[in-house]
Order: sequence, then C-alpha cells, then structure tokens
Amino acid sequence: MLAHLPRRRAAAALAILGFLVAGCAKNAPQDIFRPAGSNAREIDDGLGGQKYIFILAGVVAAIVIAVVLFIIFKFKDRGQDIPEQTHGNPMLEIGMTILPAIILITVAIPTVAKIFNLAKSDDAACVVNVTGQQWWWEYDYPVQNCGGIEITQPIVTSGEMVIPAGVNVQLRITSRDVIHSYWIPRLNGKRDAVPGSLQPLRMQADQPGIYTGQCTEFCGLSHARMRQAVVALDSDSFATWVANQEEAYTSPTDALALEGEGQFISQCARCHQINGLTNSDGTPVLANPEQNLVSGAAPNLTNLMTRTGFAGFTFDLITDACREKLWNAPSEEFSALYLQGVWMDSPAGAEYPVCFNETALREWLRNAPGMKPMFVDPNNLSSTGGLYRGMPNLGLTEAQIDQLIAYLLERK
Amino acid sequence: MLTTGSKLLIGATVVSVISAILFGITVDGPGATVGVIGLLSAAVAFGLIAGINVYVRDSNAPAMEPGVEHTCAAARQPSGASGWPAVAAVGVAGLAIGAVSRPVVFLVALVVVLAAIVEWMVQAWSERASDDTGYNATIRGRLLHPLEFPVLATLGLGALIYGFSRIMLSASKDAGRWLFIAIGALFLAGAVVVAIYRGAGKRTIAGVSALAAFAVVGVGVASAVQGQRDIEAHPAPSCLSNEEGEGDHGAPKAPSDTAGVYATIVLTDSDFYAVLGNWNGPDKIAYHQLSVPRNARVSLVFLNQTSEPARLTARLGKFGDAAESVECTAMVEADGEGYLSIKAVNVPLASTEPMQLQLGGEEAPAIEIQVP
Amino acid sequence: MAIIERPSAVPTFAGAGANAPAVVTPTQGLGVFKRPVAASGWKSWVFTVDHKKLGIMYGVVSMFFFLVGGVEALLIRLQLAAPDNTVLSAQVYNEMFTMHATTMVFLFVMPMAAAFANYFLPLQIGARDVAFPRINALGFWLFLFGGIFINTSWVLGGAADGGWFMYSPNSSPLFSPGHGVDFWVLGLQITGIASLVGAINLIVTVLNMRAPGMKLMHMPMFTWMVLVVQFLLAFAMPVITVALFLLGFERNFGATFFNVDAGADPLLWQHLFWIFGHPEVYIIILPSFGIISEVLPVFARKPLFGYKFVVFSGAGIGFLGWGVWAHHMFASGLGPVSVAVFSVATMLIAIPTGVKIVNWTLTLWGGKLWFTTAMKFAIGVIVLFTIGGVTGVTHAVAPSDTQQTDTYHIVGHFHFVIVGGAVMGLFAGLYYWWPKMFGKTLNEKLGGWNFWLMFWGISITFGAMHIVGMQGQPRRMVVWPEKLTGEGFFNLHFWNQVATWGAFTIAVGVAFFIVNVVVTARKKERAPLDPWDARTLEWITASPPKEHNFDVIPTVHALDEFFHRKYEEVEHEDGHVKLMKVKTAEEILAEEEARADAHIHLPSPSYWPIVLAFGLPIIAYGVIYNLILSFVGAAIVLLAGFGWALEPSVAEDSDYDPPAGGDSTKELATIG
Repeated sequence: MLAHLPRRRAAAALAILGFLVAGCAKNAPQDIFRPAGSNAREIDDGLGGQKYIFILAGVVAAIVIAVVLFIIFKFKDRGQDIPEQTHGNPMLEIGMTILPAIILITVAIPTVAKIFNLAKSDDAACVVNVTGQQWWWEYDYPVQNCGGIEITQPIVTSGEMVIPAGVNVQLRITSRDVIHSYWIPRLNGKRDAVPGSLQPLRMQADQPGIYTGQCTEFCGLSHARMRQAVVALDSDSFATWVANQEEAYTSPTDALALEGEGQFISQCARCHQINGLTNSDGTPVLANPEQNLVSGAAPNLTNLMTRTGFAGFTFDLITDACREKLWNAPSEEFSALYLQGVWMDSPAGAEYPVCFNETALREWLRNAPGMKPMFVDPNNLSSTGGLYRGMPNLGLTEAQIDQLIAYLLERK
Repeated sequence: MLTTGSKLLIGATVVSVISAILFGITVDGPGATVGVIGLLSAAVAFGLIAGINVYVRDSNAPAMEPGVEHTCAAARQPSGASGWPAVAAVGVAGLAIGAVSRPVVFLVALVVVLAAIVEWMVQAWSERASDDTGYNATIRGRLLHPLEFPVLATLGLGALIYGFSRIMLSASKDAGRWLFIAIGALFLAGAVVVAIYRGAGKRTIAGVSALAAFAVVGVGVASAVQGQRDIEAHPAPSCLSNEEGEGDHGAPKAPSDTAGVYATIVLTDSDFYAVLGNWNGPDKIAYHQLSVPRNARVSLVFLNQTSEPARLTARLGKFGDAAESVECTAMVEADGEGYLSIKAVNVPLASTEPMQLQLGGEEAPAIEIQVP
Repeated sequence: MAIIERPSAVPTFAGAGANAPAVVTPTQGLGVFKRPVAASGWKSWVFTVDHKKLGIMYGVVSMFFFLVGGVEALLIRLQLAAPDNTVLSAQVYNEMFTMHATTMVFLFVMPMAAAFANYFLPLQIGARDVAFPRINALGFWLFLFGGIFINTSWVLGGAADGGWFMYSPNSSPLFSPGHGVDFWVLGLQITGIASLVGAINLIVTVLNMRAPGMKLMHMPMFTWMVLVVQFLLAFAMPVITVALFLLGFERNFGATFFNVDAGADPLLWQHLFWIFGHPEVYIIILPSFGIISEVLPVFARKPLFGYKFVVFSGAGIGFLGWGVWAHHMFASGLGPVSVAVFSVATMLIAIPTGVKIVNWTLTLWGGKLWFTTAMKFAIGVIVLFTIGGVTGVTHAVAPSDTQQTDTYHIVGHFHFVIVGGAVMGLFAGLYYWWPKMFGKTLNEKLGGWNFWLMFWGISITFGAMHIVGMQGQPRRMVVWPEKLTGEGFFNLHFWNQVATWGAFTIAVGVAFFIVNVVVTARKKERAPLDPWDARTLEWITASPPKEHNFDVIPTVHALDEFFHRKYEEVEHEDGHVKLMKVKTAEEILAEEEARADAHIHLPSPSYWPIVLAFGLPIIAYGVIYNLILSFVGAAIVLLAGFGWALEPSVAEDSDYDPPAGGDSTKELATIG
C-alpha cells in the first residue's frame, strides 16, 4: 500500500492540475467558464456562482481525499492491538452535520437570488421568438423597437440569431415537434423548447461577436447536427442588417440565376419560402411545408447569403479560412466582417465571393440526407403519413445545382 | 386412468384447439380473429374443466380413495342445501331469453350456467370426498377459492366503482368536487375510527362497510337512472379553448408570470390589444398586430376587463377555395379571463380571408395575426 | 439434499358417540401436482426457491448484462474518440446509449444489488429463507426474461432510440416509428414487476423474520440500507409503471397523454419519469453504501462509527429523495419559484450524504486497517463517491446547473457516483463475500490489478468527461465537430481521447475480475471459515451455507453479534483490559451444529414461478406483433397462477427416500 502512495499523490495532483488547465485559457468556443454577457456572468460570479461552488466542491473533495490518504498511512495494520470498539461520538457527528448545513446556506441564499434575477424580463429591450424543430432553429422578430432600431415588418431567419450587442434580448422559446434545448454557453444557460409552451430566456452579449451553441435536449436522429449561434452586432450594423432583411425581393437578372429561380419554384418552394418570389403570372409563390413536413416548417431562404451557416448551422456557408477569420475577429471589426458574409475579402465589384463555401452547399443540394441523417426515406414514411422529417434527396442534376447556386448566391 | 367424463372433456379441448387452427387457416376476413379467440377461449375453458374433472375423478370418491365407500358415511349423509340448481335454472332461462332478445343477455347467462356447473360439480364431489365435513369444506375452498375470490372481488369492486362513477357523472362539477372531498374524508375518518377502537367487532366493521357499499351502489343506480350531466364536446383539433368556463380561473393576472403563455389579449372599455407573454419589457407594448410562428401551437390568455361578456374569435385563415375557414372562439364573462390555444398553419398571404383575433361580429375591433 | 419438515401426523377426529361412524380424513396432499424435489442438476436451479441459489443466479445474469452494457459503452467511446467519427451510424449510436443506460441501471446495478440482498439479507438477520420464497423465484425469472426481451429488440428491427429517459414526444410513434421503444416499455414493465414483488418480499422478511433478540437497531447496515431501498422501490416502481402504461397506450392504442395538439403537456412524462428516476438514483447507490458499511468496520477492526447516524441518514436520504426530482428539469422551464424550491431541497440532501462520508472516514480513524481487495474497493468508493458527490452539489445550484446539465460534465458526475460509488461498492461486496458464497477466496493479487485498473480507469474516464463538459460538449451527440475543439494541447479532442483510453482501462480491470473468478474456481484450496475476522451473523454459517442456513436460529444480543461471540475483554497480567479472541469461528459453528434443531421447515421448490414469468414476455410480444399471442401468454399466466395456488404446500414424504434411520426427519434424501 505504501508503495502506491507517492504514485497516488502525484496522480491526484496531476488530476487537479488537469482540471485547472481545462478551466482556463484554450479558447474552446463553448467553454462554460468564459462568460461573454451579463446573464452568463450572473451564473458564473459571486457566492452561489459557478466558479465559487466549483472551488468549494474542489476544496471539500481535496480535504476528504487528504484525510483518507492520511488515515491509510497512519492506521495501517502494523500489528497494533485491536482498537477500542467505540460506537461513535454524538457531539462530533452533530457538528459534522451542522457544518455542511452552514456551508450550504451560504450557497443557497445567493442561489435563490440568482434564480430570480435570471427570470426577470422587465429590462429586456427586444424580443425574439425562437422555435425549434428537427433539426434546426427558427427565429422570428415581431414588429417592434429592438434596442432602438425599428423593425417594421416581421423578420424570419434561421440557424444564427442576430442581436444588437449590449442589449438584453428576451427570447421566447417553443418547439414545433419534440423537445429541444437552446444553449449558448457563453451567454446564458439552457432553456428547453417544449411544444405547446413558451419558455423565456435572456440573452445579452457585451461585445459584437459570434457565440455558438448546440441543441442540448436529445431530439432524435440528427440531434448532434442541430447547432445554433448568436451573432451580436454593434448598433449601426444591426440597423443595416435589419434594413437588409426587410429589403424587397428583386428577381435575378443573370440568365443562369433566372433559370435557378425557376428551379427553385419547381423544386424547393414546396417547403422553403422566399418572401416576394412570384410566379410568371405575378401570383406569390407560397410554400406549403405543413403538407410536406412533420414539423410544418422549413427554413426561410429569403436572405440565405446573409448567414454564415446552413442546415441547422451545422455546415458553413463560408470557407474554413474565412470562418477562422470571422470567429477570431476582434470585436470592433467583427460587425463589418459579418455583414460582408460570403463576400468577405472579395474585391469590390467581384463576380464571385471568395469566401463562399460552394463545396458544402453543392454537396447538400446533391444529397442532403447523406450529409446529415434525416428521416426522409420516401419508401418508409408510413408512420408519419407521408410527411418528411428533414430535407430529402431531390435527385437534382449538376446543371440544376449550378442554376440553384447561382440563384441562391443572390439571396443576400 | 382417465374417467369417461374426463375423456369427453379432453376430447372437447382437443377438438376446440384443432378447430381453432383449422378456422384460423381457412377463414379469412374480419371475423377470423374473433373466431380464433372464441375457439381458443373455449379450449382454455374446456381444458380448465377437464383438469378439475381429472382431479376429482368424475366426482367419484371411491376412485380417489379405494374402499372409502365402505368406511365413510358420506354416501348415507343427505346432501347439504345447495343454491346452484336454482342458479343454473335461472341461467338456462337466461339463455333462452338471450337467444331471442339480445346477445349480451345470452353471454351473461352462459357465464352463469358455466359457473353454476363448475360450482355444483365441485360441491357435489367435495361433499362426498370424506365424512369429515371440515375437511370437505377445506378441499372445496382450496379448489374454488382461487377462482371465486378474484371473480367476486372484481364484481364487487366493479359495482362500487361503476356506482361511484355514475354519481360523479351525474353530479354537477362543483358538487362533484365537494362530494369527492366528503367521501374521501369519510373514508379516512372511518379508517381512523377502526384504527383507534381496535375492540370493534369484525361484524360491526363488515356491517358498516357493507352498508356504505350498498349506499354507494344504490345512489349510483339512482344517478344512472337520472342520467349524466351535460358533458362538453371535444374542441376542434386546431384550437383548444375554455369555452365552457373551464380552464384556469386562478391564473395569474400578469401574463409574463405564466410560463407558456404566448400573448395576453386584453379588452378594456377603450382598447383591444395584445401583450407578449414572458416579456415585461420597459415599454410593454400594446400591439395591434400579433406575430405568431407558423405551425406551432401557442396559447393565448384573454382578459376581459369590461363589464360585458365578450367573445374572442381567432380567425386563422381560409386556404384554397374548398377549404373551411379555420376559426376558434372563447366566450369570457365580464371581468373574467379565458384561454385559447391556436395554431396558424399557413401565412396570411395564402389565405383568402384575413387572419385576425376579433371580438364578436365582422365589424368588431380586431388584432391582425402576422405569420412570418 | 433437501431437508423438510415431515407433514404433521394424520389428525383423527374421535366420534362423539360409540355408534357414530368412524371419521376418516384422506391424508394425501391437496392440489393438482407434486412439487419438484431435485437436489442436484439443472432442475435444482430452475425450480429452486432457495434465496442463496436465486442470489447467485441474479449475480451471474446481472454480471452478463454488465458485460453487455460495457461493450455498448466501449462502442460509444470508440465513436467519440475522434471528431466526425463513423464507427456507429447516428441511429445505432442513439440505440447504443439508450440501451447502455437501460442495461446498466435496470439489468446490472439493480439486480446485482438484488443478488446480494437475496443472498445475504436472510443470513444477516438469522432467517432460513425469505418470507415468500416462490415470489422470490418469480422475481428472478421476470428479471431474466424481461432483460432478454428488451435485448431481443437488437435483432428485431433495432433497439429503443429515445434515451433511457425516453422524453415524450420524441418517444411517440411519430418520432420513433420502430418497435424499439415498445420493447423498452414492455421489458421495463416486466422487470418492474420483478423489482416490486422483490421489494414487498424483502420488506416482509426484514420486519417479520429476524432472529430472536435482533432489534431493528441491531441489524447490520447492509440489511438496513436494503430495507430503505425496498421501501423506495415499493413507492417508485408504481410511478414508472403508470408512466410506462401511458407511453405504451400512446404508442399502441393511439392515446394522447403527452400530445400537445390534444391539449396535453409533454412535461407530464418528465415529472412522472423523474419522480421515479430520482429515488432510482438512491435505489442504485444505497445497497453499495450498505456493503461498504459492512466492509469498512471488518477491515478496520472497529464498529461502524455512529451506527444510528448512518441508519437515520440513510432513511433521511430515502425521504428527501422524493422531494428533489425536478432538479433534473432545471432547464425545462418550470418557473423560478419551483426551480428555487427544488434547488434548495437538492442542497439539503447533500447533508445526510455527507454524514455517511464522515462516518465512514471516522470508522477508519484509529482502526487497524487491513488492505484487502474488498477494503481497497470500499475506500475507493469513499474517494470516488466524494468526487461525484461534490460535483453533484454544484448541480444543485440551479443557475450553474443550466450550464452543466445535458453536457458531458453531468455524464462525468453521475458516472463517478454510479460507477465509482455503486459499482465499486458491489465489487467490494463480491470480494468480501465470495468466500462465503463459494467457499474459496478470490485471488488478492489479481484483485489488486482489478481494483487499481478500475480506480484509475474511472478517475480518468469520468474526470476527462467533466472537462469535456466544461468545454461545452453536450451529451448524446453521435459526433462532435473538429471546429469546436478549441486551441492548445488540452483541447476537446485530447480529453475525448483520454476518456476513451480510460474506458478501456476499466474494461481491462473488469477482465481481471473475470480471470480472477476462473482462477479461483480452478484452485483446490478452500477458504477458512472466517477469512476476514468478520462481525455479522452470516459468518456463523458454513461456507457456503447449508441449504437451511442455520442449524439453530441464533439468538442475538448485540450489534455485530458474531464479533461479540468471538471476542471478549480479558484482563491482562499487568492489569489493563484487552480485547482478546476467545473463540474461533470453527468452534462457534461446531457449537451450533451440536445443538441443531430436529425439525427444520424449509419451503419446497416449485415449477410455477418460471412458468408464470415465461407468460409475460409472450404477452409483450403479442402486444407488439399480434394480440392473439397475448391471449396465449395470458392463458399461460392464468394457468400458472392456478398451478401456483393449488400445488401442495410441501413436497410429500413419499417423494423422498426414506429417512436414513431413527426418528429424525432431517436427513430425507431426495429421489432423483
């Protein structure tokens, strides 16, 4: 036993060191110890905060382990007499019951305060409805004054939620099918999206930047590929973004893209809405996702190219190098870079965006369920009454894909 | 060695099984399953009776204990009184009546006859099993109690539960609530009394319990005769509401305190507007349009702050020429609140009628529903 | 060799008068069939009602399921060892983690605890069997058939894929169209019946069948903790039964208990599941607490410190365990008031748990510690459970929990508790009681390897998972993307690999246990009667115990009765009083044998428990495939019920060979 002791101590030290190393530095995008907004800080700081109780827990564990190690060393059988058969010491035991109770009270009181602070909604200057479904998030912005910027018609987007930095935004989360959970680790804790019920969650980011997250309630086949992000922009950039979202639809002029519009109407518009798109006779093209999908919704693609990810923010619309640049951009440069999106780094008047990750989008249009498992086998839909859960393989030809990409590139 | 009666019954079992198999193979169509189940049930029943019969050796005591007929006086003793012939007779009469009137009578009578036959047979056998009446009673109980107790208990409890359910169905909702509390309290009090006065005789307790049971069944029968109160119909699938005054009377007044409420629709003497749920924003906006996510069920609370009853109607659009327009409504009394759960399936652009929350008639004030 | 009580002499009823006919009562047994009497061969196991044989069968079967669940865990870790890995498809991965949890919780830890409870609870309270031996056998067969039933789903179109928590509506037929969830629901119903009947049985056994003189406060701690667990089971299983019925009806008969469009609320399932699920956590951990509360005093040569405190804290955990279920739902949107209440309640439960840790530590303090493998495992439990416990407290703080819940941090936390607490405790029990069960001591050297590999494997695997969770990796994800690994050497990628290596380390540790069992079984050397100088009643018996456990039911005078029979305070020449061993276990056993009871009543084996248990999976298959099959199964259950009710209460004398001689009925050898 004695021989094990140094090894054990060393390993224990190593383990504690490991935890410390893990806690600091390292820049993991979803690190729970790197709060970037007031709500995450509320969770992290103070008595009853994450940091304090982690340290407290570590200290208690270390004391117990140290005592056990001491006992192992000190009271090893060295041929001593059978010890006295004592049955306990009531005073000591009562003391050892009261001590943890006191420690816990110091945690409990600030915890309750924090719970109610995080449930406040009267200081939120903007509201966004967040709706989860298999396997992507939809955000819609009601008509309102959002942190000083007027939104004059409802905006709907998906994958990444754009909010003004420094403003407390009230999310109202619900679901169209199963239970999901919305989590942006650096901005706040999780909140489940429960069908039929509306759950509040506060979001505030101090600085412009992109804060990624992941659906954290198991929601079926592609749960692992249901991602999300919050993009915080400075006030002017947010106003630009809103104005861009509200811009009226313009039909493409380029011949290839014009063919793409036709392809879109015949292939995609069954589920995907593009606001303002019209048939040749001038009637609006209206998607009917409720007739094709279990959730009854598909991402609105009106401004697809203003986003940096697609298919539930799982795949990048911008190339890896551009993503690295965007994600690591200093906060003062971030907003401008984000608004450029796929056109980042492209010289003015360029025909084709440098940062556009055409490979991924092309592969997706070729065979979506091959990239992200979804419940879309047309021969196996009896349980849903013929409705899909996800995007099926449309069997498009390469020519059709070329046209669609040209068309979608103009949805900006 | 098998006795004649056993052979007959075993044969019947085998025949039922074979016919079940043949029936299952040959007959197709909707009646096939029922037929097979019926025949299998017959096989199980015959098998059970055959088993009992094998055990009692055709009720032939000498076969079980050679020489017993010489040593015991059972044969000489008169048989005890038995109600089973009478029951069997009633059952046979029931069979005849059922055959010409309703199948359910026939089935019940069949069960009665079968039960009477089994009971009669076992009783007859057990009375002659030995001349020790105590032993005879034991052996009869051992054979039949596992069957009798569950069946009688089921019937008794069934009658109680059925009686109670009739009472609850005929009582009005408020009365039902108090009735439930009262009966529960009575039950508890009775149990406490029994627990405290341990000296109370078993007969007393049994008598009181039986009296209570009869009372419940009696009132239940009376209630059944009187009929049920009006039970509200189920709401249409795309909207759920508290039309009949159901729902959350005690719901908090501030909508944001109620997790899950999408918006509170407020009607005052001067205005009709929506407040978003879960948001107590600094300028709590009184919206005259409401953005609702497409195809997601959301719930609305309707606060009527006027002195008149008001009806909130959610017009959720009309899609296509043939389609019905989707509507749901909630009637709310003066200064009351109601609940409405809605689902907008498509965008207003696709609807040939406006999508809106409206009070009463066509001309009444409305809140536009936006579906992005 | 079965030992039974000869049926009492034929009662004769003297006639009232001289001319009354002689009254004759038949002597033959009542009922349709005989009872099985085989004392050897497979029949002696399949029809047994002996709590010791059932305990061993529980142990063997749950060990098998442990290996199944372990392989599932290794596959999960292989899949997660690298970003965007393709070892398992998304569907198979979802089935894999669902079945890993289901197998480990319902088919390994619970039945393994039942194995120890069955075997040692009657021995520890000085009883010859449990109160309802046939029910006990029924429990085992239901567990076995239920476990097999659930696992047949692997080859019948895929296992359940909704996670062991099976949240609605993801578990509805719309979102999980295969039969996997049906197998899960029905299989858990079957094993649930097993737990429920077992719980009632053991409660009655403890309350009614203790040896004379054994007050409740003289019961060994293992018995106490098992008693608390049985009460938890008796109240928790009905809740999950109801929940499973609702889900089963929704899936098979179109009910709408959780359907929002019909006005229902999916959170109902979560509440039902966790009202069961949280007590379940204590159902899993308390038997292990009981085991190490036996092991630590024996190898510290001291009584358990603060026996009463440990009893009451165990019972306290049992009570408080009912008031904290919603801490699994802090992210579900219950509203701040509920969250605050459950947050504080959850902190409260840390207090009785802390009391236990303190008492174990103080038991060791001042002792004369003997580091056998069992002792190492027990100390391992203290260390690992403490780590799992304190991270648990961090989750009681609701705001902090909303960051950690559903991440790998939680996975690491509860694996420290369940593997480091419950499973290590069960291994302590195996090493401690093996000589009692099989008469041979497990190899200590291999045991050392077993322990150290498991200890470090657990620390590494689940320690790494804590870090992975803090870096923001949610659980139940078939892949994690390269772009989220973060920078530096100690990134997500590194820690995921560490966790995988750790998992294989545990696997090697478990392999050492299996090797140890094989090596021990092959060696000839018998274990001494009292290898550990133990303290409780089970060690008064032979190793392994005779079928009737005790030749004479011991009279209990004190806590740790066996210790007090062996040791007395002896005054030394120099005047000071010293505790000395005055009797060996062999001497005590010889004394007991010398005054053995002449008439020992033992329950006879029965055919019916296994037949009845066999009917239930058939009903379940019928529900899934064709209702006609259910009628067949129901007929089997019905007929088995009648067989059960009608079979003779004991096997007849004529079923056995005649007594060897004399008047004694003890030595009835069986025929065949």
